[in-house]
Amino acid sequence: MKINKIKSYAPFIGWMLFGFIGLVISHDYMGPLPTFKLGAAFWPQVILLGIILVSGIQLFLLSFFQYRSDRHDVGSVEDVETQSDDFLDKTVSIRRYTKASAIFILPLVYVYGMHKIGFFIVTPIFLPLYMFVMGVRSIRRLIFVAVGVCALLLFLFVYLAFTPLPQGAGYFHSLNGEFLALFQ
Amino acid sequence: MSDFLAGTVLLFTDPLGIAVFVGGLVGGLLFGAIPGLSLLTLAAVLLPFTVWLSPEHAIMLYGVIYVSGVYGGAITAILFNIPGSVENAPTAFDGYPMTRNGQAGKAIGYAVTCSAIGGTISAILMMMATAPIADFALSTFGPIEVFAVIFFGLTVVAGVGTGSLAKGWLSLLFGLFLGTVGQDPVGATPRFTFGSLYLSGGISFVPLILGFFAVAEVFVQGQRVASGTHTASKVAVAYPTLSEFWALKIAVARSAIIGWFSGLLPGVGATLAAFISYNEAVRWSKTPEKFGKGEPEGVVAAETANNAATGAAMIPLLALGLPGGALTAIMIGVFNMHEMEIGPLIMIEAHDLVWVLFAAIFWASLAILILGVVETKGIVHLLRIPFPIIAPCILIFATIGTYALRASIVDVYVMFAAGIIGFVMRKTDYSIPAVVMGVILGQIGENVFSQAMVMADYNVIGLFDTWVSGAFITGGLLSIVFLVRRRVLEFRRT
Repeated sequence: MKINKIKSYAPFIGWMLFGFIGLVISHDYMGPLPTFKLGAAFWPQVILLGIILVSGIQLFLLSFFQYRSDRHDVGSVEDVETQSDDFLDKTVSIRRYTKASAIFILPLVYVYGMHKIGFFIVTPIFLPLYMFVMGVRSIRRLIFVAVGVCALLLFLFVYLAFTPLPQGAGYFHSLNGEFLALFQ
Repeated sequence: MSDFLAGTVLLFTDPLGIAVFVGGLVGGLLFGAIPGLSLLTLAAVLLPFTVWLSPEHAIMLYGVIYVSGVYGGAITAILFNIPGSVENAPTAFDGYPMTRNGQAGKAIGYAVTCSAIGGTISAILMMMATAPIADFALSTFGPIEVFAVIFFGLTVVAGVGTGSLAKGWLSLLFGLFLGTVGQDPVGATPRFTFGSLYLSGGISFVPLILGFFAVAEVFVQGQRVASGTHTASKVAVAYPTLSEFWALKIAVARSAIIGWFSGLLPGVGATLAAFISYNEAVRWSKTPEKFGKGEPEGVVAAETANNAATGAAMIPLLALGLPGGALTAIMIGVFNMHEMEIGPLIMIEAHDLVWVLFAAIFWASLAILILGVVETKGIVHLLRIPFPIIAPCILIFATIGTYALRASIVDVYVMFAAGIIGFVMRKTDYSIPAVVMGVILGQIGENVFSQAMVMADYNVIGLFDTWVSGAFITGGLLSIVFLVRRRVLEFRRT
């Protein structure tokens, strides 16, 4: 019961804190501008006061009327999905938990890798690896899709549209640059 | 009428003209549909080559690209929750839930038909009264009126995509707050930048939209794959019936009018058109709680309006030389490359060119209908590709789309951060559409608010000075009262 109460109060307390911290930070640039008397802080301060007001009203309602903030229409798509896929459920196995974590972490590693090693090296590794994590087990399919998609990307973005793509840093930058020159 | 026929004859009797028309149509559709390859990319890539074309063909090409590109962005928004461009974001609010509900064919059908209707109405109005309409719009709608329209739009956003009024408002306010990060629009004072050079430029729309929609969607579905509860979207090619369209006639007419007038306003154009039109669809609906969960009227409103804005955007461009957005600004470049000056005299000095452009926009809008009907039957089969294969492709396309914007890896990090925030917000019943609308309308809103306050001499009552602004602001205030009253009544009942 107590945990449930904390769970319902915590987000709105968080929002209030967010609003207050924002207001404190916005003090740095308060004061009129030469061409706008209200100053640069006026607009964000109105918004942050709005956040404090809405979360304050919600906390008041929760305290005095036990108003349920998460009430929504029964039978909606989100409802069905939220009920059916509560992945934090205790019965979820370690394997599934690892898989779920990998689904979040791999893209972040991909972006970091792209930043350091370059798009042309990281993408052919990321593509089959992410498919594998998602459950694709056929080696032939992994290779076929990875090669096909990479070829399509090269044709569309490098050969056709000259789209800038991350080239990595240091040695990898020149390596990616040479690769790029090959196709352009 | 005779001018239109003459323009059509000029367009379709020349083989090169036909080739340019078809090329622009297909190119715009493809580039609009693929994230990272926006219609602006195509427009920019083609710009140097237009020197080799006649002025008529060059300008007509850009008109056609504009029309088909705006529609093209709706396809990926509906099928994969990846809006091809910012003006297609509201299409995803209900288009993607329709796909999840097994109504992908219907969603695309609505988008195709309404894009064609919006574009055609817009083209007809454009041909009928370019100069007087431009005069009316530009003399009636100043910063005060545009701010009033945006305020009116924002008041309804909180009710979209969530059952909780508080969470809806917090989502909207969070979006508005994100829009304030960077330099303020008047004095360029850095706000919430923490000394970061990147943040001082503000958070761009594109990484946020791709993060909140595409990346968050991959995370949500990926988490279902991990827990074994993922279900693939049903492939359905069923097209909406005539009676289904007829039931939405009011929404189509309303959205066409909103789109048309928004398109006339320099600097806002199709993006504001789509968002305001979506908001009005929610406001006028008897079942607003269905929006954000697969309501066809949401797709109809967004797609009619953003296409209606395309023809309208040509009016200030041609009559006054004012571009409504990035693509119309590139069109000024095309005119300059051909040593032509746009302005009121262009209707006389380049009569043929203007009417070829008008005819091309009209026929391109109709061609979308034919192309779209054929395409719908095939394109929904993309949903047959298993999610584990499509997921990394979505992430890669979203990454390219974000990076290509300004060649900044920080944009990509922002996109993934938005994806994670979007995932958490979706799991806790906050409204992603409200956040996105907050960011977009907030950035435009602050800019016009500061101008409006200066014009009103910092007196809030001054915002009610004209009948247009007074009506919109009063309407917005009434809308807030109505929303709160409805929730209070619901609360009392429960």
